[in-house]
Amino acid sequence: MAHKPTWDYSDKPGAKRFPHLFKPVKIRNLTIPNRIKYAATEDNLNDPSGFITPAGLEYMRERAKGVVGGICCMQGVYMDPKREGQGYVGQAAAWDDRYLPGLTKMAEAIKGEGAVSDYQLMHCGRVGGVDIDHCVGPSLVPQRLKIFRPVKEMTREDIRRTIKEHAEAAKRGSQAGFEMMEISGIVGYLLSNFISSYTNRRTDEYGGDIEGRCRFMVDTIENVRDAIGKEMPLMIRLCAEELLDEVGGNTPEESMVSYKLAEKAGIDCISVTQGWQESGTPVITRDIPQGKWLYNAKRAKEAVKVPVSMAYRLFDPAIPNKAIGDGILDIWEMCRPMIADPHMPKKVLEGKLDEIRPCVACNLCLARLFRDAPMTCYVNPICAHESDPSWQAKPAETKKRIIVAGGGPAGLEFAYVAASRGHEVHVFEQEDRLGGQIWYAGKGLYGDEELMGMITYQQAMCKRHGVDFHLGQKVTPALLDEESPDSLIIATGVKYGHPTVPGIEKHPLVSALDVVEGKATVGDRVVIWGGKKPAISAALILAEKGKKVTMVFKERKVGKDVNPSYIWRYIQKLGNKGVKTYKEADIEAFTDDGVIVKALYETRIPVKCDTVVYAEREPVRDLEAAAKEKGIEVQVIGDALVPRSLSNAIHDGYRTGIRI
Amino acid sequence: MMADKEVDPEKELRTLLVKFDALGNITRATWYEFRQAALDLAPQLKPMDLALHAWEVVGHDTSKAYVNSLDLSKPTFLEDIARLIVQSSTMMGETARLVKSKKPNEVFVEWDRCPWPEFARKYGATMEEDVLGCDMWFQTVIKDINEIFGTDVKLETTAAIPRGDKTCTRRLTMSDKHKKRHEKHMAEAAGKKHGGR
Repeated sequence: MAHKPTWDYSDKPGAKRFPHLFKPVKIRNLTIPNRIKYAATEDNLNDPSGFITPAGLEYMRERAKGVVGGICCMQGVYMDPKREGQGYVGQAAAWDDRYLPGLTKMAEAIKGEGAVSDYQLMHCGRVGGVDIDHCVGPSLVPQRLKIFRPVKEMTREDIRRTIKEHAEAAKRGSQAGFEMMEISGIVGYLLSNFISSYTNRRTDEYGGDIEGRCRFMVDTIENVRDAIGKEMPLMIRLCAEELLDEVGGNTPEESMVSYKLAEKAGIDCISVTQGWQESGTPVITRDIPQGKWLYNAKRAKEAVKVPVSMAYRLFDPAIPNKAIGDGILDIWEMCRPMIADPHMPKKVLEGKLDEIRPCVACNLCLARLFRDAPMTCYVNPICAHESDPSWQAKPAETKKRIIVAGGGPAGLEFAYVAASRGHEVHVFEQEDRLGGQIWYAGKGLYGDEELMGMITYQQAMCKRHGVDFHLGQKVTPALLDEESPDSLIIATGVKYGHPTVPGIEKHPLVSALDVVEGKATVGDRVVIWGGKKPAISAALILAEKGKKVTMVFKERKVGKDVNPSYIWRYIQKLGNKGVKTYKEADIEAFTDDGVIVKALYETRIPVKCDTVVYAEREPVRDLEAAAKEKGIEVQVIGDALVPRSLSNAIHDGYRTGIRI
Repeated sequence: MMADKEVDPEKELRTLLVKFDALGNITRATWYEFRQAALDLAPQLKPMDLALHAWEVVGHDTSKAYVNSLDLSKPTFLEDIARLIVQSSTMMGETARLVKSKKPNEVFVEWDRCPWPEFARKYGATMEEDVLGCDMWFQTVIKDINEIFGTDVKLETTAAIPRGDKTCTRRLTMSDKHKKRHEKHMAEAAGKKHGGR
């Protein structure tokens, strides 16, 4: 067994600044040196049969390093050979002893980094059956989301078999050497299906009132406890608030009854969650203020005596630190922030807050999982490539003098990665500030200010690796002559063009950037010409001010450049604010009192407006030809290549940075 | 009767457009729901056979509508067939256009937007069923037209969005003998007009 280090945080800056995060907590008989937990997160990195892969192991090893002695939970395993409980194509399995070697390696990888290894049992219930034609649940309640399989109602025999499979899989986790265990009962997985009045309509002993609906959970806890013995701490993740009022889900009071019953059945710690995948209320997107859900942790603390933990929009360490200090939380859990930066808590401890790569709560990670793709991260290019040497930055064989034209996210990502490999890197930015388009995007509403955290991080990393900044200086052919770099990285971003259509002189075009910056004079009726992110930001800002806003764009859907797990937030907000959209449309002409929109099916529609905001971007890479003529190696990255998203800019910058 | 409120042309058009769009979607959904019902009731049926037969039925009905709009004596006979296909497609929510060829007896129809594959995917039908179903529709129309007019129009699918192509493209051709027949018709028509012998 790996030697367990003794953790002493007393001289660490983070422990002084966030003392409550770095003090021990006891769960059953196990003392954990801090209050940090990497919460189980599916990653689709295992093989299709459920065996742990090197990619999955290395992904977890990095997260285990990050919790600096805290709890690190592997993704939930499915437990049945029929695969009804499997919710993700790359989910780990534990229904047979053949999985033991992989699970043992996983436990060892986590313990090897000094973390407390945690193992999760996760039957996905009505969101399961990913590779078969059905899933199972307590009752035949049809799916609301088309991506999930038709539900088959479980018989009593099915229920008893499933409980037994939980116990057998738990025993395998214990044999594999995990130090803690937990049962997942959240977001629409099987346990939560039994507990909820929405999905449990049974009239037998597993249904009825909340106590009856909790019987499956109680029986499972008791059987798992019998399988793992008395010593091992056993956690459960349970919904404190289902947010399913519209379909008759549990009341928050009923949820607290489930907490008390779990505690009575022998649970040693409860992870508080809220919302279901089927709920229309968002819980972890960027528009949800950080710390919003702590009131549920407080309710849980008042309901049970065992320690209470929570993830869900607790990115800023000051928030959980205060919550623990205030006695409303015991353990700070993280999924998304540690997908974005696996060493996030370690950096908190070391006082390197500005070197934390911040999660921007876009949920691309979830979008990938639901589309049967391996985990990836919007802001972390190495995520899920931890085991692949070709994705790591290695010292450069030939040191180069590199000029980066443009201080946006692509240029900055490239700059620090290349500098970390030993290159001499100079970033030239024509503005007197860094950030490029993100400086504007960060002025969007509903949490978009968090986007600028990425620029803060990149700036800190550039500083750490000795990148030289030249603000207010534009790269010109003359400057290239003067500086004679070996390489030029064109990260000059975009400009907003000037289209020509008949009558355009009737209404001067306003730039979307001027709108988000608050510089533009805009009338009461506005047409936004474009449908991607800058257009959405401008539309929401203007609609929030009470303007009548119409969006006209060529794409089939608004926000084509927004990932599928986030666009629904924008669509909902645009709808709520009364923003009209014309998809697959264009402005054909300007008239005295508005524009003519050429819409679908060749329909021409007069739209009255007093202002037209242009929000379509064009790449800027004027320097390319001149630099190539001078024999300088040139790479074009980010929006300068093709206008896209922050993620594309970061990934372009990183990949070019590790290869140059 | 005068309206109490001022008519807002944008609102009126937008309402119609939304309804038209919704109706198209309902049509496609109904198509696939009927298909599912048929397969449920007759599980021995192969989905492809069912789809091809259904589109054949539709094709016969469509050709009845087309023949009344076609006139073999016009030199634009082939183009007119293509134009009718464009119109039918537009009615079904697709975006299609007629593309003239440099060759006199050849014309293309090109679609750059088609909502049908999306519905096929949604209802679990294969992309090939979508392509071949569409082909069956057009081929049936062309077959009926040839029978009625005694022509030898041919239709060929050269690209298909469901197969991953950027557009659906269909090439329509006719042999020279019909071209000559056009010319004869034209000459006769001109002779009559000018009182020739």
